[in-house]
Parts: sequence; structure tokens; C-alpha cells
Amino acid sequence: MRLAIVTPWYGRELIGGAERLAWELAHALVRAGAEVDVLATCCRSFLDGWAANYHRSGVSGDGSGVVLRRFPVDTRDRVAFNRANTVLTTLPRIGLHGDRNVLDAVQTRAFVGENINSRALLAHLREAGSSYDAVIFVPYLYGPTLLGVPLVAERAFLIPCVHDEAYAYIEPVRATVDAVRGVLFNSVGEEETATAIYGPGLLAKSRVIGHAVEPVPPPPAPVAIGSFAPHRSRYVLYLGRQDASKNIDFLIEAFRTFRERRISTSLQLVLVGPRSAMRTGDGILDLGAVSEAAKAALLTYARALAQPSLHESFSRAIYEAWYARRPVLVHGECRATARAVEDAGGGWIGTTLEDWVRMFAAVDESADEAIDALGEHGWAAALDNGAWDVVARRTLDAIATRLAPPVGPRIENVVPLGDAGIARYAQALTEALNASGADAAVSIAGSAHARPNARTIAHVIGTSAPVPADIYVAHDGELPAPPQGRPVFAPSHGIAAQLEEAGIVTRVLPQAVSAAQWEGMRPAHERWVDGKDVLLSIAPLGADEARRLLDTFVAYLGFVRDARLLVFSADCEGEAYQTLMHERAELDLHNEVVVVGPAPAERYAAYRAATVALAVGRPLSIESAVMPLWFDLPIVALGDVTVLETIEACGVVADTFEARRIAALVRIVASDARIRGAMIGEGRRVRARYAPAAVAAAVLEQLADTRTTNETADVGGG
Amino acid sequence: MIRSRNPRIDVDELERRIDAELARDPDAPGGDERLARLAATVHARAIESQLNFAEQRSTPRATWPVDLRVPLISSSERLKKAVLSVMSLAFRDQYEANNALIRSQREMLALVQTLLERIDTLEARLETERATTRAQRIARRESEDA
Repeated sequence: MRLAIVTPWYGRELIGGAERLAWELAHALVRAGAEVDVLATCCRSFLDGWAANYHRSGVSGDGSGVVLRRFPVDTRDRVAFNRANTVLTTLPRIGLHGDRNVLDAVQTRAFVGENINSRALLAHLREAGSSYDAVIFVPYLYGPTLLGVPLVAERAFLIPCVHDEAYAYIEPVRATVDAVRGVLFNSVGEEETATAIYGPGLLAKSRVIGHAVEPVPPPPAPVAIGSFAPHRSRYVLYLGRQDASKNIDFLIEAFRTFRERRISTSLQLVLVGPRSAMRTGDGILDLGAVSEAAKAALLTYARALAQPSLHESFSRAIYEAWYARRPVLVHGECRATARAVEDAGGGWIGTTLEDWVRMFAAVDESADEAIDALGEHGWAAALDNGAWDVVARRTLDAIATRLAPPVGPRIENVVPLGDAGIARYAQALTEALNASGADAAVSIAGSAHARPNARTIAHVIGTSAPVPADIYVAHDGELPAPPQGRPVFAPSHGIAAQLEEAGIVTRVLPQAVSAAQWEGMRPAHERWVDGKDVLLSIAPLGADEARRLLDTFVAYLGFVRDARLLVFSADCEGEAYQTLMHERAELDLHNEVVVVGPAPAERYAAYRAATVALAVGRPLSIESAVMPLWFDLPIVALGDVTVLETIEACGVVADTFEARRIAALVRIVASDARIRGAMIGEGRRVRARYAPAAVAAAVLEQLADTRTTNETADVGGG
Repeated sequence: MIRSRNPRIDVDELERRIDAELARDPDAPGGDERLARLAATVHARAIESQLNFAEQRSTPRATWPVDLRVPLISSSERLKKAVLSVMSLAFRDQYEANNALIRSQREMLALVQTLLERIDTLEARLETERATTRAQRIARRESEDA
């Protein structure tokens, strides 16, 4: 595979995260067998003038197989860029929300046009772009990416290195993310951050490739750093650039508070890394930049490593600590680091100052064995993360799959005539299979249109006519005839249990619920993103349920004066709609209760604006229950069969309807970050079960097994 | 009765919090309102402190700045005084304009605060009336249904 990596600054000596990634990945891709051209500018580094050509332009190599092509940078209006940049860097975090644009047109033009740019690099992409199988852009926010992607969009892959910062919200970045063929992330947390910013449609073309960190070998003998002896000290280590953007002031304030409350503690905070000013205080030791050997000693003997930064797409320091079997303390508002610790169980997560004071106390008080046990969890995660060669293989695989999905078998989903529920399920399965490379279609049982040589999946109920098939999906707990050794699936656990009781071995194959329909979607408007709590009704309504919903909402208004209720028009038709409108007028809720139109962009706007999804209507369909999970919405619902299998595993379910009680519950879910986080976190796990790729994989694996069994039987029989 | 299989949610604790939420005085201001009020207070204080700073600097200078060194003038007290007097005379209109602006800003701030209080009172009254109407409407519907 012939690849290009486009990055503004390139060189072995560069220490920035994206720069190191570009260098390491380029070499690993070559080792994995790819031909790699690195397309970089002649600018020396991020810290040098972006219009200054330090390196010579032209082609060079370092003997590793990586071909480096450097292009001169353009002149630029630094003042205009800085003006736009200042707007972005001084935006309060509260102003960053979903689809809201954060720069006006003039500032946006200045940000892109006066960024680091190279017309020569763009000309090369224009002329030679099609000679590459794929062009990888690293990272997302500089000129070569923003202007280069449109030139090779059909083969462009973006490694964004994104975190929740104002740059990620500007229109050209959104356009870039929309345009690229695929997005490759360093971590699951980074993917979650990007999904929150750009919407769940992104997941249809994204893949987590990971990010490798080389372990730092422990020192053969104890090392002293000046007068500080790590092996004889109890300390929490901070490793990295010491500046405000890394949230180090927060770390120091938390540690000072901890020391004020625990005067007798011997726990110290050791700061290591380049700094502009020395930070001192009770129990705080600032060592500045240190050698690799000193760093290894500090990691080896630390009780834990603190990573307070909010702006990480991946933290090397965390993995270095884990390789040294040390646990870590991370900030809960940084998805990338928090998710990594959550998954690995290799440390503590805290958001407020009090959380951090408690975490320091835990580090101080915990037995050495408990600290080591957490470190071991981290170590396992670091090993699992893999080396650069593994990341390169994942990258090549992700690109190859996206460019040309593997060709799967021809599959016929045979459904009974006249059952809309089964038809919907089969259609969702067909789309999932096609997205995974199969050639699937739906046909009606007994129809003459069935395609020849197709593997068949028969969707049956107890009264269906018996049909031969490779796989059966039983939709009502009964089969029309014994399966003759063929695999049997059920769409839910309830139906699977019924079949199991009848002695039929059954696996659950949930209905696929895809977020791909939202790919590239923009909300119809931002009217509902105005700071008010937005409750989104997700259940179908009858007249009684519409009243019930409004009663709940009125009770909610008793807790929160400003709130909005959104109801999908598809969920309230006929009498339900009349009742909803009538009651809305009676209760004087014209401004608060809004019926969401059927247009996809309108529905998308509703999902994106919602604070909590609420289901107090009729029983939910699988799609209604799972779709909010793709938008990271916590769900509060009245119990029913679907809720039992979907929402109960992540959200909260009320057994009986009591308007004020449910309203109070919704209020807590809407306002408590910890509960929201817990519901969203589990929701991501639940939705993964319904992801089209997971559902299709289960069917394709089963079909492959069936074929192998048949072939074996044929050979045995012959 | 609520339930959840989410391992990170303590249902009993959540039930207790729902009870606490329901037991809260419905007329007490909600958390968001409190935050909004706090934010408004912080803004008002920031404007006030800027105005105080502007007021301090809006009077003519009577002493020579310690960090300003001008050959010949810095060494002579009489020259310094003369320069300060000339400056004071030259910028007299400006000082007066500045003072007028500061006074008008203070009036504006007071007016905004009065308006905010008025809005609060009106909003509270409106909400009470709307809540009463809704409660009556729901009670009437329930009695009709029964």
C-alpha cells in the first residue's frame, strides 16, 4: 500500500505529541510493508515562526525507507491569525457546545488562511495525490490538513489528535471531519470526545488505532537527583510540560489543600518537566527537566503519577507510569485519560478539587499492596495497548477495510408476509450485513424473487410455513419445524429463554441500530441549545400517555423553571397529537413543549440538544430505546420488555408512574454529572451490542461455521 | 420504586435523593437560579471594581510618576509641577468627560440591578400563577376522569 502522511512539522527531535506520532507511525508503517511518503513543511517546529523555512525543501530519506518531501511555507499575516486564535483560546468552555459555530466568517478565514500553510505542498497533493492509496493527515487543526483534505477527500484519513477545545468546533474543522474517508483515533476516549462534538454519524467511518508508548526501563540501581532520593521518598509524580494549559495550577492547589489538612503526611508532589517558572510550596518539589535515567528512577519509585490535564487525546505519561506498574490520578473532565483509567482500573479519577484531595489521601493511606495492585492493572492495559508495529497494522487494516470492504457472501433474509416488526428487523440486519461487505437482501417467504446461490436466514414465527435455511431467527419463541441442526437466533433474551425452555439452543441476535444515518448530518437549527434543560420524549404516545408526559413535565417545571420538552411527531399521531396540542394550550406550555418534525435534520437537532431522554409512553421499539444511546443521552423510562433488555442495563427504570417522582429522578439525572457519567458510560457498552458491525459479525461467523460443518459433513459422507 | 442494572448506580441512594428532592420547599429558588444570581453578582462586582479603578485614575495627576524619567524635568521639582499643571489644563475637558461617563455607568449599573430585581419578582409571580393554573387544570381533569 502506498501512503502519504501529511503533517506540518516532522523530525525525530520534535517532542510534540502529534509530531512524535507522525514520526513513529511513518517508520512503523514502513516496517509493516507500506511505502510511505511524509509530506511536511520546511518550518522547523511548532515553536518557530510558521512562515520561516528552516529545512531545505526537496526529497530526502533517513535510510529507514520513509521518503521525506519538504515544501516551503507561505508568508502569512500573523496578527490576523493571532486575533482569531485569541478569540478561540479565550472562549469559556461553557460556550463550546455540540454544533455551535464559535468563530465568525472573517475570523474563520483568518484562522485557516493565515495558519501554517504551504501552497507547494497543496500543489503536490493536487498533482500526485491520486498516486497514493491513502493520505493520512496528522493532526486536525493546521493549514495542510484543513486545506489539503478537500484535494484528496476520497482517500483522506485523519488522525485528529483532538480533545475538547475551541479549535475542534470551528466550521472548517467540521467540514474536514465530514469530508475525510476515515478518522483514526489514538484512544477510545478521544473517539468519544469527537463523537460528542461531531455527532454519532462519525462512528460509521472511525476506528481506534491506538497509540504506542515505549516502556522506560527501570534503573539498575537507585539514582539520586540532586539531593532528592526517589527510592527513599513517598511522592506523587507529575511528568510533562509545566504550564497552565496542562492544568498544573489545579494540581498544585489540590495538593496544597491536601497538605493543609494533613500536616503530618510525608507525601510529596514532585514536578518534572520543562517549566517557565519554578513552583514551590509545602511538600512540593520542582525538579524541572531531568535525564531519561532520572525519569526512569522517578517513575519506578513514585507512589502514583498525576495527570491533571483536561486537554489530552492520549497521555504518554500515563502509559509510562503503567509500564512502571504505578497507578495514576487523572481528571474526570478529560475523556481520553478518564476512559483509559476507567477501562484499565489502573488508578483514580477525580473532577473537583475535593475529589483530588481525596485521591491524594487515598494514595497516602493505601497499603503498598493496594497501590501495586492498581499499578498491575495499568501494566496489563499498557501491554494490551501494544507497540508501534501493532498500531501500524491496525492503521493499515482500518484503511484497507474503509477503502475496499471485504467481499462477503450473498445472503437472503426471508421474512413472512405482513409482519412489519419482523420486516424492520430483517431490513436492519440486511443493512448491517451489507455494511460489512455481504450482498444481502430481503425477500418474502414463498416469493419467486429469491436469488440463486444465496445463504438464507429465515425469520420465522410459530405459524410460519417450514422453510429450509442456513440460519433461523425465531421472532415469537416458537419454531414452525425442528431446526435440523441449523443455528437458531432470537431477537431478544426473553424469546431466547422461551426457546431454551423448549430445548432449542438459541443465541440472541439483537436488532441492529445504526448511527450511520447521521453521518455528515448538521442540525436543522440551534433553537433548542439555549442553556435550558431539554427533555426528549422517546416513547410512542397515545392520548393518555400524552397527558402523562405533560404531567411529568409540569412536575419537572416545579424543580426547574426553565426547561423544554421535545416530542417526535412520529411518536404522537392522531388522537395523541390532538390531546398533546389541547393540553399544551390548556396548560399554557406553548413555548416549553415542542413537537419535532419528521425531517432527519430536525430529529438530529432534537437528539443533539437533549439533556435527558424520557420514556413514559407506550412500549418502546428497540430503535427508539437504543438511538438515544448513540447520542450519549441518559435515559429514564417506565419499565417494559424492551426497556428490560436495553435501558435497564444503563439507565434508570421506574416501575410505576408517579409524575413528581419521575420528574425528581429526571432532575437528578439532568444535573448530577456523576450519575450522568455512569449512565452514559454504561450506555456506550449497551449500544455496542446493537452496533451493525457486531450484529453482522455474529451472523457472518455463524454462516462461516455452518459452511465448514457442511463441507466437513460432505467430505465425511463422500 | 426504581431499578437499574447499571453497576455504577446505587439505586437506594438514588431513591433517597428523590425523596429529598420531593421534600424540598417548592417555593425555594432552584440551584440554577442561584447560580444565575451568583453570576450576576460577580458581573456587577467586576463592573463596580472597573469603575472604581477608572475613578481613581480620572483625577488630574498631582505628583510626578516615580518611574517616569525625563531629562531636565525629572531633576527639577518646579518643572515637574509646571508640566503637571499644563497637562491638567490641557486634559481638563477629557477629565470632565471621563467623570461624566463614570457617573453615567454607575447610574446604568444601579438601573440594571433594579431591573433585574423587578424581572425576578415578575417571573416569580408569573410562574406561581402558571403553576396554579396548571395544577387546577390537572386536578379538574383527574376529577372528570374519576
